[in-house]
Amino acid sequence: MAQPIWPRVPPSFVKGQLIAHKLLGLTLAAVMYLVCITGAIAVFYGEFERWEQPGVPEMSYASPEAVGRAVAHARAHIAESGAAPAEVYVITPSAEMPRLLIDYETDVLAFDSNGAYAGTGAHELTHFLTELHYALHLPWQIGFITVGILGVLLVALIVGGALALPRMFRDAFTLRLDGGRRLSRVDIHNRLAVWGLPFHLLVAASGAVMGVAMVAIAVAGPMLFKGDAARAMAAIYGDPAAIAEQAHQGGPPPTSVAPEPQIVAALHSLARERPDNPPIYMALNQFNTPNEIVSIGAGHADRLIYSETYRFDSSGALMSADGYAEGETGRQIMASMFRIHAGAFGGMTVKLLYLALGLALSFICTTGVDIWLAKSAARGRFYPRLQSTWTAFVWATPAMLALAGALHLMWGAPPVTVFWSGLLALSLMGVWTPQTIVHWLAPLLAGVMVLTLPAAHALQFGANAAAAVALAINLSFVAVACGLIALAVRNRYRRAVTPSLAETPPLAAPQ
Amino acid sequence: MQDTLQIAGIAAQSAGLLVLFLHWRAKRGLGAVTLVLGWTLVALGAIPWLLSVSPERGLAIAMLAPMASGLLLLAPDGLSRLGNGAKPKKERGVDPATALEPETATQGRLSRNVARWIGSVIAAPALALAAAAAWQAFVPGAIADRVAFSILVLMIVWTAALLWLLSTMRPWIAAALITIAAFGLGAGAHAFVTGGAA
Repeated sequence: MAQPIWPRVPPSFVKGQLIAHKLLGLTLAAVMYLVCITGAIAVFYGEFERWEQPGVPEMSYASPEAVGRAVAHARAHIAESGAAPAEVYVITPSAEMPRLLIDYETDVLAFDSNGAYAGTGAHELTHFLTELHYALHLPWQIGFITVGILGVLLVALIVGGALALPRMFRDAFTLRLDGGRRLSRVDIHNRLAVWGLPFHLLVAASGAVMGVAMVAIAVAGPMLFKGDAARAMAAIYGDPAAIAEQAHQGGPPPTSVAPEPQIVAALHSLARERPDNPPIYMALNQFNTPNEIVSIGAGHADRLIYSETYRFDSSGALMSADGYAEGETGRQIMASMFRIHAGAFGGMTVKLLYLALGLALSFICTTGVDIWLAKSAARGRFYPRLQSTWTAFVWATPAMLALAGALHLMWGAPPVTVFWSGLLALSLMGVWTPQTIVHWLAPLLAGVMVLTLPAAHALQFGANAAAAVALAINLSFVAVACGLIALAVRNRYRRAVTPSLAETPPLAAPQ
Repeated sequence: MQDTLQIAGIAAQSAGLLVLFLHWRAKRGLGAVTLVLGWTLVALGAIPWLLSVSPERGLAIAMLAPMASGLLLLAPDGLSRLGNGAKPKKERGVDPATALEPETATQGRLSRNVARWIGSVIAAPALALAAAAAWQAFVPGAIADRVAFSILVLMIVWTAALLWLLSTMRPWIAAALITIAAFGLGAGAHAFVTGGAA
């Protein structure tokens, strides 16, 4: 094989990094797997939102007047319902989300292209999935920081893993699938990790940056503002009081006539002054107060920033921009993290690649534990219950994601409760079920449960389940289910000739 | 025109990976020139993306093609070995990369693991926070830059401290040094800030 081009690394250093990688990996495997697999699926969060409400009208454009009518309707609706949201978001039609939606704390309202109310646009299942990914369903600030810290630890795992691979380039194309289950697992683990390295590192680092940003801002209070955390927030995100005062200079506060003149004027101003930056969303901060602030997040097609935030005065004239597109480097970096993390920068091709590489990262998490189990077994230390529990947990995760979704679609069952209780129960069942059975039964159950999701969707939405995006997602679920069932059948058949990882006879007698 | 250029870029990157693959497959390699040619093609293939969209977005897209091509080029080796018959080959060799050698059960293992836990849970994050605080306090520049880059500093320092703690055979010493560094940096930043210099 080729000569190595990687500098020779002392074996003691490699050994140390392997120990670090093992300790960190085994400690975090389960939670990392949860975050990785949900992240890989959540790349399609926009498509899932559309799938979840397939009957909502779709459009490529809504006029400023239509948006103004929708906002007036939402204002009246919110007042009638007694809700008092601090922020209301208007999602304007774009390639990513071709719908006109108004989203506030407790509800999502959908509108047609004329701004007439068209029913609910709520997408609780998508929230269930994304909140599991970025907060593990913990209270959001705690969860967000926790997952951010997991991102830092994933960076450490990736860097440590790379440092532990002195033959990274020499073995770059080696895949010894005939080398026994242990060696083939090691090769799959290492090759997926090496070729996906830039992606894994970027996704982990961008997730970490987003998650621990709040920690850095909390540190900035005492470091830069004599302990005043509010001033630190204002320095980064703008001072709401100052913005509101500036906005008042444009005239009287917004009225509730339809279409709302400030909304219409703001969208016209943006189209006139920033013709290359179409709106993605509109934020109404300090909603329904005298200090209500209107801002529009507008896309910059060639950039990685999610959007630039343009602020408007009460007459709808463009007042300022927050500087995510052309401000300080740090601000631009922060604003670019989401698109890098979510793969939302190159259309469907990039999303599919992100799905593949994200699933690869999830697979790396599972094979890491498998390798440790196999190595332990080779040394005469067998952990059959641990292996069956781990296998059960790995397959129970997609199974319960699907079942929680299906039960919510059919009967409105709370997905968070169903998911966690089911995941716990199925994983615990692995403790008392032999690996020989879990090996094929777990993917079979996962396949069957995934199949319930398109079935529930079709039963719930009828012909709308065959709308463009909904049909594509439902067919994908069916394909995944068929793949899992086929895998289960294969495992059932091959079980007769192949022992499990934890039961592999030792290669050499343990000392 | 833009699409043609970008397709040409992907083709160049894939060709570069193919050259590297052929180099790898040859028993004694194809020489350093081939190796350089392969990597050069991978780098050159990124240029259309960098020119046609903003550099950061171009770079993000340009990285995806080699990753996908590299994974696909694993297939020849994997599939050819699958055809070798049902009986798996005997596992060979001691490869440090594949060994994942666990620490042998030597005296003091429990103590080392306690040190690793304490260090990982307390000392490493404390040092990372102190480094972020010190960056914000000491490095000049706009507030947004200082805060944003302090996050990167936090991540890098945490990673380095964690890897050192977990990999060393003297984790108590590592934990102690990391703790001292955390106190030193934190106290220095605090003194600097309360002195009014920030």
